Amino acid sequence: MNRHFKWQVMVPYIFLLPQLLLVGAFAFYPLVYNLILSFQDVGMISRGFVGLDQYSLLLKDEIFWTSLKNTIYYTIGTVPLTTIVALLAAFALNQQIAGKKFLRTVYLFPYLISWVVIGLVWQWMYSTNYGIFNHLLNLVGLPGLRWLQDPKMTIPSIIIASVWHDLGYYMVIFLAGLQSISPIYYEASMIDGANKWDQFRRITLPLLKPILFIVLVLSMINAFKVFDQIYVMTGGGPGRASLMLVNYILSVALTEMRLSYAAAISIVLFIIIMILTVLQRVFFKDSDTEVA
Amino acid sequence: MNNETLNRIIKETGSNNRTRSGNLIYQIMLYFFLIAGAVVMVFPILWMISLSLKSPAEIFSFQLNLFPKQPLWSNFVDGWVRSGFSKYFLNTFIIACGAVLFSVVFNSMAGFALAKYTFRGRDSIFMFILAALMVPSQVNIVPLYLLMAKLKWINTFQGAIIPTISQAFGVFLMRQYCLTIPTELIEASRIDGCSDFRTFWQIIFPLCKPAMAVNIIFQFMWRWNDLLWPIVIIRDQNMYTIQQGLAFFREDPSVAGGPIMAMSIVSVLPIVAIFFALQKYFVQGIAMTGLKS
Repeated sequence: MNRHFKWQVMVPYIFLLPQLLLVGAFAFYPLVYNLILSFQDVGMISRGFVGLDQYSLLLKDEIFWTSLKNTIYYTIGTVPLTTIVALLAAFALNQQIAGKKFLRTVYLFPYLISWVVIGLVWQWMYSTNYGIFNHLLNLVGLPGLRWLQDPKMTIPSIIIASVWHDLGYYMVIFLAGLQSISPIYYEASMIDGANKWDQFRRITLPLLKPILFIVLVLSMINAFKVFDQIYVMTGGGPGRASLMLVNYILSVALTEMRLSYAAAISIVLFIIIMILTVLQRVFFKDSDTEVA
Repeated sequence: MNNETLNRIIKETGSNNRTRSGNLIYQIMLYFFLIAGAVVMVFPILWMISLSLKSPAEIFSFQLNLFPKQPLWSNFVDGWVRSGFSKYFLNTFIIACGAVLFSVVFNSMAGFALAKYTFRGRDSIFMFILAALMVPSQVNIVPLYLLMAKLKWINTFQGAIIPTISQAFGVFLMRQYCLTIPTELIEASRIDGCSDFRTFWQIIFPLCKPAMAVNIIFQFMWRWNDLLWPIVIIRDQNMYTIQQGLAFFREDPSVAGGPIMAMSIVSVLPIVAIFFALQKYFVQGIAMTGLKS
């Protein structure tokens, strides 16, 4: 009887055990290990504990600052653009129009495709000599651009492709938010003579504010983690014009084998993402109580 | 026209737009932008299909046609046969299906326990698992790489699968869904003499199908489309995933251009098939990722 009782108490822990082991071993243990590594010198030649050496190296590393600057540039470029376009698309596709379902699928479709494939196609479209974009520019009498080769153009070009790819994902989140707004508000405002723009500004935006904030933070976090599109489309080039933080971490770790230094950069990236996450949590709690 | 009649008209027509003439312009603009947007969204995909059917001579020409003059279907054969894409597809299937299988089982076990049992430390365990969602995998590349090297898991399927299934998204998903299952059902099966584990397998597991569908779609898509982790863990060309294969051979003269585009299209097909089969769940899943955080 007593043994049976004990067994019963253990049941939920047994159910949880595999997941807890996985989370511990592959999410938290690496994070702690990362921090320890960043205070050491582990790589081709290991020197053990070196204190804050890696971090002071970081402050003087021009490539690190370039990659941080590029990542911030990419974030500032993608986040507002993706959010605005996704919001407008969601608003338009929430109206009563024919082919709504089909259009939603069309807008979401690029999100399904891997960045490698997207990168390959856009690389062709951006090609200076054989690309469709320059072809179209020439057709209207404009000179072609060196989309991915011109250091000034390469991040904007990648931003355009990113907005195209991610748009549908955020649109679906916005649509879920829009559908939770009661149609009574719109009907009432119609009677008061409000037009669509008034409705958008006075009803949709204020009620959508919590979702809007979530999308902003989510897309910021995702933008800081950018890697695939750079790896495929430019490799960080020309020069280091489009080198991003994760791409730099990977090349420092796996090409240069300076593992501790890569760990230090990872910790910086983690802190940035942590700040954004905490920001989101704090805000979401506020808006939650507001609604309730 | 007073408000009541207007209100009645709105209700009767069901559409609140066509009642006033100003809205006609609005409707036209709306359709114009939506259709223009749809063209922009579809065009790169059409261009990919077009490139996959072009000969090198047609790709490298200054005349750009959406419809290839002579569709070169052999690009698909060439891509498949050269550079070992059949191997990469098989590897990716093993990795993606393995990850899906493990995460679906482990996530629902954890989600079920968190939703339907009262035990000491439950809330802190839930917080612990949720906190893992905040640790981005990109940050853990270096320590995970060292851990994998220590375990001798570099270039192995377990190395490609197991670290990725710690993702807590599915646990959250399954917990929320299990909360909606009536506890009486579990109690009834317990009275009937069912063990907890049999209850889970035979009663809870089948009931969680919708939440599991969402989990399956996302885990599969994430693993199938992933590039970063395979780059870290897989060095041996025989173990490459499809994304690695595409990235690695994109400039290889034997397949660059048409054949690589053809393989790109083939690589997208499994995801597209899953998407259209389970579209409803897919959209629900995205909405949840937005609303849960």
